[in-house]
Amino acid sequence: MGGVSEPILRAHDLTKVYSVRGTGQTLQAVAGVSLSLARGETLGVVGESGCGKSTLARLLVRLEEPTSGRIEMDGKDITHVRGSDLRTLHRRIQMVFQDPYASLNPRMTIGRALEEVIEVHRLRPSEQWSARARELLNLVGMSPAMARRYPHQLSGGQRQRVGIARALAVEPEVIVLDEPVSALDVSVRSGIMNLLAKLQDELGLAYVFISHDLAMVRHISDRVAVMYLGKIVETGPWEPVSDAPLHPYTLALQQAVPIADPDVEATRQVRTLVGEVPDPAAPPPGCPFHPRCPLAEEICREIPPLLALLSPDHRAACHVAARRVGKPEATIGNQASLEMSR
Amino acid sequence: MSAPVLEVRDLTTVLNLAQGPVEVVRGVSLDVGAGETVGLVGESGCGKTMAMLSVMGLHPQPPAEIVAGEVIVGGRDIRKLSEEERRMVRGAQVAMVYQDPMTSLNPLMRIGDQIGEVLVAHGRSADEARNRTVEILGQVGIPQPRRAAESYPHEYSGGMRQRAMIAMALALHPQVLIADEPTTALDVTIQQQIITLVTDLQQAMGMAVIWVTHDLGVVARVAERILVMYGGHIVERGPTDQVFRDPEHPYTAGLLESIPRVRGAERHPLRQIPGAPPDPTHQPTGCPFHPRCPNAVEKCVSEMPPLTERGGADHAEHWAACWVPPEEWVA
Repeated sequence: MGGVSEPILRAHDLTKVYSVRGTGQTLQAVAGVSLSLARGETLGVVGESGCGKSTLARLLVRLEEPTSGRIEMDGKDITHVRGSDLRTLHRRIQMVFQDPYASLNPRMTIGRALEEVIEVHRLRPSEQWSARARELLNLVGMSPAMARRYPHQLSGGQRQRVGIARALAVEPEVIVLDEPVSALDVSVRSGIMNLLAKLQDELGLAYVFISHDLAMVRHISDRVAVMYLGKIVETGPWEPVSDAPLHPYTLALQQAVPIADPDVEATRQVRTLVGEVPDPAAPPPGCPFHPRCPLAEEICREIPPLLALLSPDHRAACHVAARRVGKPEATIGNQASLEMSR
Repeated sequence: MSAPVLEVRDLTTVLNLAQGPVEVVRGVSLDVGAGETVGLVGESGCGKTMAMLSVMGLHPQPPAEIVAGEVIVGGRDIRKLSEEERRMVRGAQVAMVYQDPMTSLNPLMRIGDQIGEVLVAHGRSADEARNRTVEILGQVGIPQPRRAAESYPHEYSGGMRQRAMIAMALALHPQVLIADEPTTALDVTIQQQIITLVTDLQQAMGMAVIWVTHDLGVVARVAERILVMYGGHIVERGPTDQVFRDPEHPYTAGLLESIPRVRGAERHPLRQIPGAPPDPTHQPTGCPFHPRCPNAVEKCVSEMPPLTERGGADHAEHWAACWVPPEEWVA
């Protein structure tokens, strides 16, 4: 916190509420998320299905509008920009999806798919489109000859490279990557991970890397945020969050991911988490993780823990963790202490 | 290894396509001992699922057809049995669970009735079937099994559906369970629950498990032995710790180095394997890995290397199919 440069992207207390069709119920997919992203930095967001990470991604690139909260880019409020302002915004922040196939027109060549982006954003005069498309292919490690191919003629890894090239066409400063390697074969993933690292070095990009895979997040991130039921429950530098987590959910996630080393696995203590993620339309009171938490106490069932600074630059929303580091008040805050004195 | 409960010899399955027959399972052999856990690892299109469906006699025919090999269960080659006899072996001796539970669950039928139907088909009385159904649903960790038996699959969560499918597969106490990516579609904390469940049931029931997966971590966690498949062939097999420590096939070695380490403060670029796994209908000549292999020599282009035992006291039961020994690898 309080770095030298102003963050390129900042979200403050974002929420996104959907109404569940036919039930009159509402579902809070994102429930008060704040984050900041520095230039050239990678923020990893990790969590399981239903935690709100993909909704958060769509809010950050303004594919959807938040229900409440604020998003700033370079200090400028972009929460509700529309029309040409939104198009201008999308020259600075782009998104890469899990399934590039879904975002590519099957009847359009790869070259044309790239030219289309250049055309829509009026980035170059038309006589330069095809040269720029080939340049983009080169940038993502593909032969310019691929410009003549159609999406179905490419492998999954090649299609994801095209997805990345499309995002790069506008020369953005931020790319939000939503599960960019999850659909790919294991032997193909490392090529995409290395490509992302190389592009970041060369172009100074900032990434929000969203994944369910803690190992991939650990590998690429400067900082990591762990989400559960719409909230960030832990955040900090990649190393302590991945290897010495404060929140019991992060620890459970870390233990659940098997390590591809039988010697390590043989000596590892793995505690299997009980139960399943609660219905986001009916979240439990208190800490959202308490029904599955091996450490849960009375207070966890009643008072939602605040995301509090428990060690240098490392925050967690857990009453038990807060007490363990000698800051029992940190996760309770003012509002809740009123409730307690009732 | 204890006496095998399942032996597969030179199993070859083809897909009969317009272009002619294409081999998708190419001379696969494997033994599974009683109570043992074997990991079968490979990426999409490597033939691992088709190999296991062929073992079960559940390969989609047409277009799939087993053209060679033996599948020996309880001393008998199930390829030589009648369909009726094969149905008796399926479930009672070898059972299979899938990535998508809806592959084996009927959405229009109550879970309890589906499991009961399997039991009745194998000669249990209606009463026995009802009791066993409730018992097995409880054993797989489904809360309130008596009530759960009355529910339909859509009323279950993804993790619970997977448990119900496992219950159905295990209702008849098979000696071998083939688990084909049963956790791939699940969240990691639910995956861990299923791993724990299968491991516990395996110990309680003394059955062997073949975990079919693309995830080397899962294999490291559960399997004593590993089989690595690529392009329809088993290209390496051996004790899990040995294969992970000293891989003898460049594909296995490449895979192991391409995944991020989850320990230590140093983060290096990941090892890349160029290209992508082959389309099973357009396999390269010779060794199917040669177009992606940094160590390939001329022979690899024309001739598939046989699976041979690697020498040395440290390499008992460790086999690989590669013309180039690791000492001569360039990478």
